[in-house]
Formats: sequence, structure tokens, C-alpha cells
Amino acid sequence: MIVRSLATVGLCASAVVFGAACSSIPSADAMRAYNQPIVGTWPVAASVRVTGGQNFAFRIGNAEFEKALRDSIVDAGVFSAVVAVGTGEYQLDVVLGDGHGMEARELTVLWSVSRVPTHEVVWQEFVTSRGRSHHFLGVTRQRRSLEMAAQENIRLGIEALSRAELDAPL
Amino acid sequence: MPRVLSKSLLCGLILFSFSCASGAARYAGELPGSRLSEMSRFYVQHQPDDKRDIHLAIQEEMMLLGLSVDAGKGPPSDNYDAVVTYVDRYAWDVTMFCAQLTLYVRDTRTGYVTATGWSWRPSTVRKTPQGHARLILRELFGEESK
Repeated sequence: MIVRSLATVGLCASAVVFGAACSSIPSADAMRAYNQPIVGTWPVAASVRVTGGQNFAFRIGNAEFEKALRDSIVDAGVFSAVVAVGTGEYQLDVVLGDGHGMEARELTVLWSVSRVPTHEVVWQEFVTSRGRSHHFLGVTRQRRSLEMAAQENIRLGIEALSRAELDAPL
Repeated sequence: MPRVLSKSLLCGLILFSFSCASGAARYAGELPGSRLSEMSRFYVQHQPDDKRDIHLAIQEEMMLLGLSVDAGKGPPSDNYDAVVTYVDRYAWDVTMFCAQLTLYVRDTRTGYVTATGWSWRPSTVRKTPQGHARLILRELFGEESK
């Protein structure tokens, strides 16, 4: 009887930990940047590719970040169009890199723009951002901190991109 | 009854394993236009905040892969194909451990980063900075590249 109760408690505890881990993956909507101020726009079509992410607890997944980035770029209008990878005149590569810290998340992302036909890099910048949530629950606090850092990174990255002197082939 | 019990335990173990899985992760990749496969001479530059001489550990791991690598403090004084820089992050869990190492390979011809990689390990499966470097470099260059 005691063993059975222990097994039930163990199962419940595992389910809680599992649930917590599942709910700790940052979402695309929460990482999207809204009302993005930009300095200039580039009359070219560009594709967006995100690498370096990891679809695991307290990590940003490539697909989620790419969706957030794509939506933010379209919203900001920094490129005339966002197209599929391999098409368009430019490709924006975003590499999720150094990011660490349990509650005060710091995220460093490499932003790189290259010409599609030649693969020549024309602009590159490291963007570092921070996010700090004060949510009561630890799991939510960590996820939100990361989402805030990612959202800030997208905002800063697009702003830097809008300042970049891309020599668009007109 | 024992069958129900063992099933519950197995279920719990699977759920627990999924949720508390090591979480070790790594990434290594090249950017468009990368000449990494053509590069033969590398320089690992010591980072100002590094007190553990991680540049020497990275050099050792690159040499084990058959690459020609120099390492030192300050900018490279010779002609190299690429300069390797890094960022090391630490966390506390009973003792300090290297939680993440990120490497950047910068093409000296263009000045841009041409390849990058990172390795992240939680406390339970911790590795030394050299262990992190080994994981990243083997993924970036292959087991024995040259």
C-alpha cells in the first residue's frame, strides 16, 4: 500500500516536472517585436534563415524565432518583401549564439546579410539583449525572461539593419 | 498489482527522463559564402576576460583535428586564413562549471564571421572548456579534417 502510494506520488511529481518543462519553450508570438522604429528601408526582397536554436526547455527554437523575426520584419517594412530561402536578392542569416543566465537572460545573436547569387556577406553585426521577468513562478519567469531578451534582440537587430548601408542593386 | 506498480514506475521514469533529460545541446554551422573547408591556417586569440587560457585548449583541440593553429594574446601578427575567438560562460552548482562555450571563426580576408558554434551543458553532464571546444570543433570540421 505504501509502495503504491509512493509510486502514485512519484508519477504525479514526474508529470508536474514534465508539464513544467513543456511550458518552458518560448513562443513566437511573445518574441515578436511590434511598432518597430526604423531609420531606412531597403527596396529589395530578402529571405530569412535562423540557425543555432534548440527546441528544448529554456532554449529558443529556430522555427519560433524565425516566425517572430519574419513577422517583425514584414511589420517594420525594412525589406520590400520577405521571400523563401534561395530567392530574392539578399539573405538574412540570424545565428542564435551565446545566451546564458538563469533569470536575467542575456542573448547574443549574430545578424548577417549576404547577397544571394554570390553569397558575399555585405553586413554583419552582433546584437546583445537582455530580458528580466519578475513573474512569481520560476518556470514562467525563466521562459518570459528569454522571450523578452529575444524580442529585444529582434527589435535591436531590425533597427541596426535599417541603419546598415546595404548597396541595393537597383 | 505488481504489474500496475511497475507500469506506473516505468511511466514515471519515462516522463521524468523526458523532463529532466540532460539538456546538453550544441550547434555548429557555417554562414553563406564560407571558405572554411579551404582554410588551412588559424589563429586562436586569447579573450581579455579569460583567466583559464582557454585559447590554448582550443588550439590543442584544433591541432588534434590536423589543423595548423597558432594561439596567443593580442591580434595575430602573421597571415592567417581565420581568427578564432570565443565566449565562455559559467554557472554555479556546488562548484563552478563551464555551462557554455561559443566559438566564432572570422575570415581574415573579409573580417566577417564565417562559421560559429556553441556547446551548452548543464551541471549533471558538465564538461571542461576543452571538452566543449572538442564537441564544437568536431562538428564544424569533422573528426579529422586535413
